[in-house]
Amino acid sequence: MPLKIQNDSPRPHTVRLTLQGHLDTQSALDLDEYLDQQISPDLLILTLDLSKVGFISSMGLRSLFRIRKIMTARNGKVCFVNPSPQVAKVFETVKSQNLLSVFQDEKEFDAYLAYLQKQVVTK
Amino acid sequence: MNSNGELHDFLPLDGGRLLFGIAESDSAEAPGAVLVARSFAVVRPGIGPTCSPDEVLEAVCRDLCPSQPNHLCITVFYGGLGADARMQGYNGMGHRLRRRNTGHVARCPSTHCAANVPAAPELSPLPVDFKLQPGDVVVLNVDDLVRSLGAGADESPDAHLISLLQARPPVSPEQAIQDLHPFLREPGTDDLTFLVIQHQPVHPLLPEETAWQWRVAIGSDLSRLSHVRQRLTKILEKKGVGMETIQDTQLIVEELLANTIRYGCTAASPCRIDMHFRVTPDHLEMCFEDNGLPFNPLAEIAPPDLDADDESRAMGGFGFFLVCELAERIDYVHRDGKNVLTVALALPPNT
Repeated sequence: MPLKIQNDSPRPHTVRLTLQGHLDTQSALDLDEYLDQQISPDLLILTLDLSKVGFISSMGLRSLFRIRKIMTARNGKVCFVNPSPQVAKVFETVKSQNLLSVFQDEKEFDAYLAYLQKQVVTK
Repeated sequence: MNSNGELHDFLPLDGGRLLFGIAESDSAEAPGAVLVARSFAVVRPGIGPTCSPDEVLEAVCRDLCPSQPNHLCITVFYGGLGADARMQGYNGMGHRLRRRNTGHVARCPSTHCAANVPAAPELSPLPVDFKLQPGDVVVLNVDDLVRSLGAGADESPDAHLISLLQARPPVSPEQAIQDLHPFLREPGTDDLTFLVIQHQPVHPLLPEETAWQWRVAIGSDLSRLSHVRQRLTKILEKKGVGMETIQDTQLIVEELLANTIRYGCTAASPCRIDMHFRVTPDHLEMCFEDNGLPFNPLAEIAPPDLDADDESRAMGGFGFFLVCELAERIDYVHRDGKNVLTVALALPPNT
């Protein structure tokens, strides 16, 4: 199943990507390419919604860690939110479940974004 | 079935036999499509589980030919596949059968149907009888290839088709269809209909319903992995395996196949990977055999550092680790020139 990426910018300097499909050996390379285009100099917060990712492999995991490394190096933030059960299981298997965030609803997510934005702006 | 009226069908018979058919109309008009549909409608209610392909063809001809308009010509082919892997196919009107076995392609003789003359009900079938070997791929085609290729086409489209099939070793129906794509891109090509069947025998010592084997030839095409996963999911769902186990299996297959393709195969020596699956009350057992370079992942791949920073994690290296964490047991042996990796996945109770 190819990976679909929905992009919206809920706040300034923030991009929210909703991934849908499988993040596997092939589509991970497509995601890398897409993310490289999305990281503009003024991007501070990148959120990846993983609720519709039905499958993630080690290559998909590598892509997520890679973008986290890039954003961290630029003093930015990356959030991996609302993982599907399979994604959560893979993160847990590699002891990275602390990188995941789960929100009850959009309101809670929005409040978290506002908090993050304050953090990166004040740095 | 599209508006040109191409259709295929399968009908289980007794004794583990399978009857299959493919039909096509040379007319884009609606009556052609209707005639093709009728050729299968005749078979399903009227033919019992003990019928033979010649009885089927006789019934189809008897029903269709008297009423067939003069300007319409349809081509039908019925074949039977026995539980002993013996294939008995009978010619209808104008079909061609190609068999592909370890690179050899056999073309069986066919009758021809004059375009404006309905075939007579007493048309004598030409028998096709041979025993399939494991992995054999059979390609059936009922089109008029010269017409389908349009003006200026190769004078011997059959030879062209056969050479396309012989260019790569036989592997799977999916790859056979991929190999045929260049044929379809010829200028002026009409749509073509192929039915591709592969013989995949069940291990003789294991019950049919719980064991199956699958040969996958991927070459260096990583994009085929998702097709493999999709097909695997459908098979496991039918066998009643739970979703979490299916996802774990998908991940194991993805990681092992991807590793084999990336590191075990070369451009000169494409990958051929045989997968064997067996479902027992407690486990899903998978066996992966590949013809790549000798490699024991249990000995050669060090586990990743799970406490590493983002820099290290971004390099990857979690693939085989995930397999080890998901599996209950993994064994490796190099045997007869092949890497053989066996993975056992524990099944939750009541799976």
